[in-house]
Amino acid sequence: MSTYYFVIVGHNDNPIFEKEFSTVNKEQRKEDHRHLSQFIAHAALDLVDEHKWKTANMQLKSIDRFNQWFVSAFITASQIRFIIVHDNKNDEGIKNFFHEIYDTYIKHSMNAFYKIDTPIKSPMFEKKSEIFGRKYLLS
Amino acid sequence: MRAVSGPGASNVGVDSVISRLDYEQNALHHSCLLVLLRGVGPSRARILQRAFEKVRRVNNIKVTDSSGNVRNVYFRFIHDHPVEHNDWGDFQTHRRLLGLVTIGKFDNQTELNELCRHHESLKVRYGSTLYESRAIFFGPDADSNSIINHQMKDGLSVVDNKHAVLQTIGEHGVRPDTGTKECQPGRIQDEYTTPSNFKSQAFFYREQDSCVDLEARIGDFLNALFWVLESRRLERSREKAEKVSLLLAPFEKRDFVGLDMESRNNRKRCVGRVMKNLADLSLQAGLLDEALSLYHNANETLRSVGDSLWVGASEEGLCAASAVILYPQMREIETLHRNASLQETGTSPLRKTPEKWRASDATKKINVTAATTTDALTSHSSSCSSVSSILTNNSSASGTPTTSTSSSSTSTISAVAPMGHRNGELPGNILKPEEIPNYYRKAIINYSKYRHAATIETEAALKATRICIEQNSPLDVAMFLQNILYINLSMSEPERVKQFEIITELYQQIGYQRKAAFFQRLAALKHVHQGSQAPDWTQSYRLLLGSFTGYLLSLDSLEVLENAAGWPALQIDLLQSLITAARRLGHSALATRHMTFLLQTQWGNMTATEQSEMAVQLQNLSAQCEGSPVPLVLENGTVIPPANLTDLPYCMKVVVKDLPPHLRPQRIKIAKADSGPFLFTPIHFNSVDSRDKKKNKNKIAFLWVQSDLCEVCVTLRNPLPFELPVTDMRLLTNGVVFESLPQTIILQPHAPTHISLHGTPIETGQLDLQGYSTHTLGVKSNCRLKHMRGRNLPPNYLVEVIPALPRIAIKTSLPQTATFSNMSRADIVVTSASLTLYNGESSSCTITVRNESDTLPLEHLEVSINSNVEQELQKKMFRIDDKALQAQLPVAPLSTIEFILHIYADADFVCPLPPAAGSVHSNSGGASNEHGASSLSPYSNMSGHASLPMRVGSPDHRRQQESQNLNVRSTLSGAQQSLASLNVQPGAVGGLPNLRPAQSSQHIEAQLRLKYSGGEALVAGYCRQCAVSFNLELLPSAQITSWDVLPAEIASQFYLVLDISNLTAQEMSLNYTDNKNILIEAKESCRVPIPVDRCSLEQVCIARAAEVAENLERELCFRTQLLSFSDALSKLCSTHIAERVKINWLLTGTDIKGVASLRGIVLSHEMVDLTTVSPIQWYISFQDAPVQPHSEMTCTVGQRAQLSISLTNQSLQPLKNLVLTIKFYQDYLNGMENYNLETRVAISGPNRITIPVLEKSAQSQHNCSVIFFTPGRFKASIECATRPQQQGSGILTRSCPEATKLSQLETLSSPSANLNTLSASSLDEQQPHVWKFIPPIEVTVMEP
Repeated sequence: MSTYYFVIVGHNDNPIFEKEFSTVNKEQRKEDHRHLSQFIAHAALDLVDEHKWKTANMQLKSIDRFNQWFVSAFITASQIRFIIVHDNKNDEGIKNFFHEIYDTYIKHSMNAFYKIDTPIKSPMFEKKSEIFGRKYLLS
Repeated sequence: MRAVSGPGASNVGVDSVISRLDYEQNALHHSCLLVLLRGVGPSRARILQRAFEKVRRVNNIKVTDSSGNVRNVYFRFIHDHPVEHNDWGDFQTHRRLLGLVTIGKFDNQTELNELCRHHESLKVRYGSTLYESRAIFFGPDADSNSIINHQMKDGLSVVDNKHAVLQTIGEHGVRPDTGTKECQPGRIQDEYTTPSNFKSQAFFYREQDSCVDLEARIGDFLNALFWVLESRRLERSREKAEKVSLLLAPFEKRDFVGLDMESRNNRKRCVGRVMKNLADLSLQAGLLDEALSLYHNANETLRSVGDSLWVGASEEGLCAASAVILYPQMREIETLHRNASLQETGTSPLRKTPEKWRASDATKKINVTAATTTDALTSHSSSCSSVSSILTNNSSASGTPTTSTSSSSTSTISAVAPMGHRNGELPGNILKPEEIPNYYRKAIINYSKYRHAATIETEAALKATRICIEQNSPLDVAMFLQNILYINLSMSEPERVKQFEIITELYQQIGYQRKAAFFQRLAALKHVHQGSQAPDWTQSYRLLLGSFTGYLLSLDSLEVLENAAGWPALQIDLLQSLITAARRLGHSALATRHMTFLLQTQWGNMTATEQSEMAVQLQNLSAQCEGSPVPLVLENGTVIPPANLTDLPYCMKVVVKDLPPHLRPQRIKIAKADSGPFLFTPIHFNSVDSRDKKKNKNKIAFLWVQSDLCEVCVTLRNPLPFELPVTDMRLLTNGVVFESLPQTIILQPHAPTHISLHGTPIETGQLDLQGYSTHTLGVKSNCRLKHMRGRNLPPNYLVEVIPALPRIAIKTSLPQTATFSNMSRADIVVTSASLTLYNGESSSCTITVRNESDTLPLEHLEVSINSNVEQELQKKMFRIDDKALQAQLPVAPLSTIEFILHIYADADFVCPLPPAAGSVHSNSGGASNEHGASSLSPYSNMSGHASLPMRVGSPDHRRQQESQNLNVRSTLSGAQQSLASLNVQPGAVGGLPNLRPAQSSQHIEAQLRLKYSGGEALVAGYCRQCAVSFNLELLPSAQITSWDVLPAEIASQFYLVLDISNLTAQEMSLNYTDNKNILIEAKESCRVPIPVDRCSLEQVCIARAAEVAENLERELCFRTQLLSFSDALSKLCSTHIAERVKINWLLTGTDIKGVASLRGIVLSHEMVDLTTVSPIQWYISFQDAPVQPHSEMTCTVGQRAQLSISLTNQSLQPLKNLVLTIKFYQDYLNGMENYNLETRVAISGPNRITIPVLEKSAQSQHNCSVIFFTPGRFKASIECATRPQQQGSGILTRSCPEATKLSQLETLSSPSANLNTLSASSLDEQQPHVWKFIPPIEVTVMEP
């Protein structure tokens, strides 16, 4: 019983890719949850932006929390922010997930037809994130 | 203002836990003396506000104590103070309420009594801690007669003199002596008396009083407070360590019941707590160094006994004392923040915490001076660094690392020099800036061990946060704030909301807008939580609106679209919450506005379903309150800018339409003023204008006319899946006053719709078209082009509006045409007329012009004809009496004038030149090329036809072919008589049927263009142009198919023989000379001879001279093509004939008649010779009798007859190379002529005589004798011929060597050779001419 809300946030605080991973059945999940996660992720951006200049690491472990939710983040070299809002500790899994997604994101951003900061609408990207999510987050 | 808080508020917290958090607290408040400042009586905020401000301004006093040190003592004015907070006074002395000031307003004695009662009740409530109180009363204004001097109205009444000691303590000396005021009239305290149970000091003022001495009095009051506190401190410090009682936090009371107070541990605890208490007092009394030392000691003592709560308190105290020294500017910053928040709250400023009323210049000034005294601490950033550097110096000098402060503190306590740090040095035991958060953390951990200390813990965290903000370490701020959330503090929902709001504010202070927005939204949602008893939508709305910045939203939709930043899903959610709040508040206008904003800004971020859902929602909302593009102002002064649905419907294209062509204004062409000798100048004096024009790229090229309906075409698309009605669509303009006509349309889903928006400019000048306004989904929007994104629309269109022009309506007397003209500028045609005429017929048309304008006269009318025929022809065909027309001007409004257009159907009657072809080729207009080509096409297949070669090609070409044709004709006629050339013509006549289709009818299109103007526009130089289209059908009438020239009976005339065909379908009566008529059946032709006077020699000479001149000119221009003289001559003859011969025709049975002219007739060389008067005058005598025409001459066989021929040169030129030939022949009158008469007649002497030169007016005589051998009728042909020069060059060489030489030269290098008049005449001589004596002499030879 754990949920993960993963989002890639562009330079203008705009989400460019969103995905939820959960062990809970889809029917049981509430729409409200996703909204709250979005709000939490957005609120965490302040801390992410503060921390990113204070550390050499790309990954920022549990930099913020609200009630039972933790926020972990990953900053790419181009200052794109990966945020995961999660309700249980899984540092190692999150780290692996971030790195795999980073890899995929870089490949995707190399696409000449993709404009930075615009929503990612690639089915391949979707599929890969799904795979990594299941592999590192939900397992 | 909340005047009186109910007394019930005091008994809320029965539990010893502090019921209410003081969220405003900061570390510096530890050093302040708490004073309750309260308004009493009925609320009169406006009046009392000034007094409140004055009191608050005095929050700091400087006191010189007994040892001569200056103490800086601060006060904190609060508005509300729960009594139970006083219970914590032992734990932290600054929580104790020490003073009370009430401010009230009364109008009569009863009210004054009430105010006094309030004051006393407050005194009672806080009696346990209160040191002193004051009341400030504002009475009614004195009677008008008693008001003399506002300044002198002040009065002071010391009602209760039990605090008389104050007067001695007061150091300001500004206290007015009561006695000096006695003389002043209307002392308010004389009029009203306070009740006997009122035992406080009160100050009375008039309502309009300036209260000059109020500050001084408050200062005295605060002084009094300080001295009481100081006495308490001294009391405490003198207490013997063995005798001190245990100080307790409120909730501890039960814990220590029954414990042994005398144990060593507890003794120590007592001492430690007292020490901490003393430190608090010292801090308040302005003894910072002492306070620091005491805190350190207390901390150590208490820690040794494990009294965590008080350890925490001492740690917090340390932090506070350090902060007071390190960050004195925090007081100032705080006031600034208060000021900022004050603006937000707007109309209800006093509903919030009273602290904001401390905002005043006085406090700042005091703080600034305080800061400057500690000169290292002037600025925020430098304070941290400088302080730390000083500290590190100190610590390194003493050799004690930072961690061992506690150990070193014992030693430092004695070492502290009183007020030493004031002179630039900091006390050695002060906490370093970076230590403060650590100490706070420790304190919080200590507090967190006690459930009942949660409030203290929270407050500590807030204080720590504020210090961290001061230190500019946002991560620490975030950490402390984060911690607050997890403090297990049971609090009511409003409390929690308040907490969120404070957290928001603090996050905002460190610039964490997103975090702030998160908590702001949480607070907003908490306000209206589902379970909430009384949801406060106002607060919720306010907070939601406040969180806009955090979500990168702005109130202005334009800005939002511009930035295109932020998290759309969250923005939509926020906006929807906002709309709900606004709706619940009952602010339908706001709800509609926000919904409009949502649709406008988030359109691209919504799915199609969401879009239509939102649109429907908007429709529902706007049903309650219509949206309009005006800014809405909230109660707190926030302005909600208008939101416009610029893209609903979506504008795809905007086209500004010109006026209809016939109404389009034009410039009246005015003859250019003489601008000097230069045709072109590179210097542009009006270059400024042209540069301006370049700037205005959106300037429309055409003009609009004042009070004329104008049109803008807009293409709209409805992006919604349902029908979208758009009502009241109008153009939005700027500049000139413009009356827009509303337009309503229902847009079908997704289908682009064109819509025309109309309007009338009322003024003249520049009109700025900015867009249009719509009313759709219940919202009025101003859709400006500049706000429409993603399309290539200019920000605006600029149209020049010129003064009003009149309008006219035109009627003609002719029927209208069924077809449309394909002439150029056909668009300006307003009406048409058609007319069918036979060639040569005349007609007229009456044109009626009506001025349709209501006000403007028609002052200017210019009529011109434009047609597809050449200018010359056109002049002949259409005629207007312009003078008569101009005489009728001006035309008054709504009246009419008439004028007549004369039409003559001019055509080429001379075949084989079809008139159409002729006119087409000569038409210079480029526009008619097409027309010409099309009319040419029927002939193109005939181009090879030998008999009709001249129908094709350009005029030049035609001329060549004409001459060719003439050559053909002349060669054909050859030696035969010239009449024989007529025989050639039947070929051409035979070809006539081929001509028929082209000849059948000819269409001429013409436009009668009218330029008209009037009123101001005329002055400005504008006019309108419209046209009447004329469709003229020219039917062939008479046609001259062939012609020839025959010598007439008399030498001065010749016969022009014409073959005339009647091409009409009716019988035609032809009148060809004065009295001769002939009837021609339809489609028949007949031959008529017309005697015509010959062309005189003078004319020939003139023509020759003109030609010579022209040749010279051509030669000067290096033209190679020279005109031949014969060409000019033939033209001359042609016009000569055309002028003299007019053939009138009449269609019998009708009154249709016309005139056929012979214009354009082409004459051959021989014909020309016959047409012109011969240069040679003959004088012939036979048998010494002069020969008369048709005279009978007789002679007898075998008898010699004398024939004498005399030639005179009549021309102006000498004639050269003349050959006179005499030939006798017999005319059998059957077409046979016998020249073979060697056996019948003999001439003595030559019958060919060469005359080399016949000078002008010279005579040449030739005599010979003739003998006839047989009787019969003989004829003599006497002719004189010139031969081309080269043949007789031998003779010429003798007579005129120069000419020969020249002519030879000419033959060698013919056209480009130098020519003079001589050579020109010789050119003429190159042509062979034959002049005959007409009629031939007839001689009847009889038998002797």
